[in-house]
Amino acid sequence: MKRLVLPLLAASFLAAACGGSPRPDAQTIVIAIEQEPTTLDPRLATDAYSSRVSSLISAGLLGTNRDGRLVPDLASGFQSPDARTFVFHLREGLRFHDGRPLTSADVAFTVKSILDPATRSPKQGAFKEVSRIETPDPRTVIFHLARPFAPFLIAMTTGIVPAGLGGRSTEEFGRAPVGSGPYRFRAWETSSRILLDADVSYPGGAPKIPHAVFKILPNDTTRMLELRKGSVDLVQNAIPAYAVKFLRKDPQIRVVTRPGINFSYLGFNLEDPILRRREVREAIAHAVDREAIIRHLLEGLATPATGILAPANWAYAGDVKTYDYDPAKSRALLRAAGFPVPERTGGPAIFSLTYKTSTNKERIAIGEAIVQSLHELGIDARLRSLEFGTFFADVRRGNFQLYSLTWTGVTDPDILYNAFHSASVPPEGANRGRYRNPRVDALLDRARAITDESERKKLYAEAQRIVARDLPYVPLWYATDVAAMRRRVQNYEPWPSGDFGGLPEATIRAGGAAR
Amino acid sequence: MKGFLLRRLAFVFFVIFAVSTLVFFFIHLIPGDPVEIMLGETAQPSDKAALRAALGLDRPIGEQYVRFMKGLVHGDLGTSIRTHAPVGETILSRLPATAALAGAAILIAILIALPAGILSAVRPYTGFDHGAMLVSLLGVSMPTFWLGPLLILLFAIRLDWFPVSGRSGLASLVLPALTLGAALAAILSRMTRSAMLDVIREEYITAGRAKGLPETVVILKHALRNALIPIVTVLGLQIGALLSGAVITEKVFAWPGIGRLLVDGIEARDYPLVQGCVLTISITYVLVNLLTDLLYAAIDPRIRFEEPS
Repeated sequence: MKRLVLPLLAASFLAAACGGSPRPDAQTIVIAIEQEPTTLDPRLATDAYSSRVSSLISAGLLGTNRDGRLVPDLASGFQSPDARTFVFHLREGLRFHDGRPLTSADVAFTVKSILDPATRSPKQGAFKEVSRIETPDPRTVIFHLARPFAPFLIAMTTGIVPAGLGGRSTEEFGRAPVGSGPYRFRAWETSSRILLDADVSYPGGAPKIPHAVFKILPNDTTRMLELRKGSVDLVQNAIPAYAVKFLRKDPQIRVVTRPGINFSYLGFNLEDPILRRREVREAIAHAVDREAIIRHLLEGLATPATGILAPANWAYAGDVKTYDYDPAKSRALLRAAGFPVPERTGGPAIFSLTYKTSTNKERIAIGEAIVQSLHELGIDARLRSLEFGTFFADVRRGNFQLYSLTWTGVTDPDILYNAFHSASVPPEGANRGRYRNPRVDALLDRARAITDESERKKLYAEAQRIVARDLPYVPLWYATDVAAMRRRVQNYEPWPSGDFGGLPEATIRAGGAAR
Repeated sequence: MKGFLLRRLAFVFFVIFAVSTLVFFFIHLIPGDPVEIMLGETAQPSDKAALRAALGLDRPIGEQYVRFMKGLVHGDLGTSIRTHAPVGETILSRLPATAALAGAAILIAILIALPAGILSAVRPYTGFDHGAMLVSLLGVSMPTFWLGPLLILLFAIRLDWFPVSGRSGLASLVLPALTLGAALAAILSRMTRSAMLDVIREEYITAGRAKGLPETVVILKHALRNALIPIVTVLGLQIGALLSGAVITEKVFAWPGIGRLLVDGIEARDYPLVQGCVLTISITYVLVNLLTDLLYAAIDPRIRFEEPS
């Protein structure tokens, strides 16, 4: 035994001598993300991880600021002579990271290639009203739309790619993109890291930290441990609520929170014979104790929601009907609807409902709490946890009674069209509950077709009020944005819903590399 | 011997055929649509239809199966739906990481289990024996997703000997290999102990001692060699458990291997990728078992593979 123990010990000391992982130096910020991006091609990047990294590399004509409002980026500004024409002026001296000048031809190529079905871009829908693109000179692009379409401007935040992709295929480009944003792409080590370098010539100002490394760490616990060790500097939103408590106790770690916009809701199937009745939906809404769930299951890291648009959104309407926790009212509503609600729990069920959710532990705990509240009303509610792909396919197909999901990164109020317009019933859109209200349809159609913001705001406000009354969703809460970082990281501000827009401003404290 | 090998190889091909058929139909049976996952739910139905046609997903399932099998015969596993990269190449690029992890786990398991099992058998019912068997009971019972973070806390954070995760040189291999090897070490040490205990009571051991052989020769040469057959059998069978344990270990340690590739593939309903991964894993398993059978002959000269007569 002795003979074996010695070499083993020697081996471990040798490994120790080699050191753990290389420490992040003062020139590099290491950020943990929970999933590998599928592509860094801005025309294809729609999942959260692809778009968060891609948007640092590829800049668009417009950008969004910290409050989710549109701001000029590659374009110095634009004019809209009428609601169907948009004239963009590019900044002077723009270049791609490989040194090639960025001109109106690149902008036209980007949009045309998105509209080309061969590119298989999920962003086609946002550009579908573009009928003609003119490039009178290298710094001017004119878009003609087939009809007025307000969400077009949001689509202009899509990153610009070089015309012809520099002779490479879409697949190659997606693995090694060339953009004109604050960071240039350096390397992508499959399933482990993506390396970016600050671009000193970025017109918006070069990022303060020269290098950024995105480490792909799919396991929740591992992400926390890397942060505690100091081999990761920053984790944003990819932090389970229970872990935040522990991270706050670590003197080396600073936790920053800000009100978020990611909206969780309980969705109803309005084609279900029981749930199509408004009293039943209202009864369920009054039965959900959101405050208790936020306090106990989410560690206070959420605020009760009133609707799909968060208060930070310019079109947010707060004066909508809300549903406080009031089980007595729930009982009264159900009785008024003709259901024999028992005085005490344990009696025969008045009807049964299935609540579908994913396999995420937090989601299951929330589901259990809600199901328990429904039991107390005499409803035989059952929680079914399904693998995400299966769960989502069921939700799309309308194969559900109750489900809960989260809308992430919503900045465009046109999301209301996608979620509640009768033309958005899957497969066309995301009106999964099959909600249909002609008045809402008319309001949302109109809001799309005009550009005057105050007028649109009125239309969206009315739509929000009607939706809150009709209750296709029980609004649950907006998740608080949480960023946990090593103390050496300074001046980093979390942006809405986990975007890394605050990264270029971040600095690293000198001498902070040592532990 | 040659006849045996041929028969076994024919069997391997049958297993591969059966596994590919099962995998193909299972992955296509589960709900979820790769096109929806790729294009997102706001995509136009016409675009989805076009992509489905381009991927051949609009064809009848039987036709898709024939196409998949044809490709397989030519050694073509198809291209990934999500990344458009050839599946064969993708798997080959990930194989070394998983092979290194599994190899190191087996090595660690053997280095721990054999000495512990032998010592337990030589001194049965002593403090060492009870202690070792208790530890091995713990080893079998601890799930990898719990043991992994525990080892990280101790060795990567408290002691700062190894990196928390990732694949960056030899030091990064230690913790995942230990995590993955722990359960195998536990089973192996228990197996070694009981096999050795059986052998030690045999008369030829007594005979060896009687003719004055040193105890180490008796134990390591005569007893261990005769006890190896059940140990090797268990080791071969446990490779399957090891490969499935690798799926979780790779996630905990952000290890870029086949296991993570498989999980990502399932989540995206990337049919060709999942088929390729499962096929690779099952071929490995079948080949390891073939190797185990061949090892029997090397360990025990009495075992000969002959045609039944």
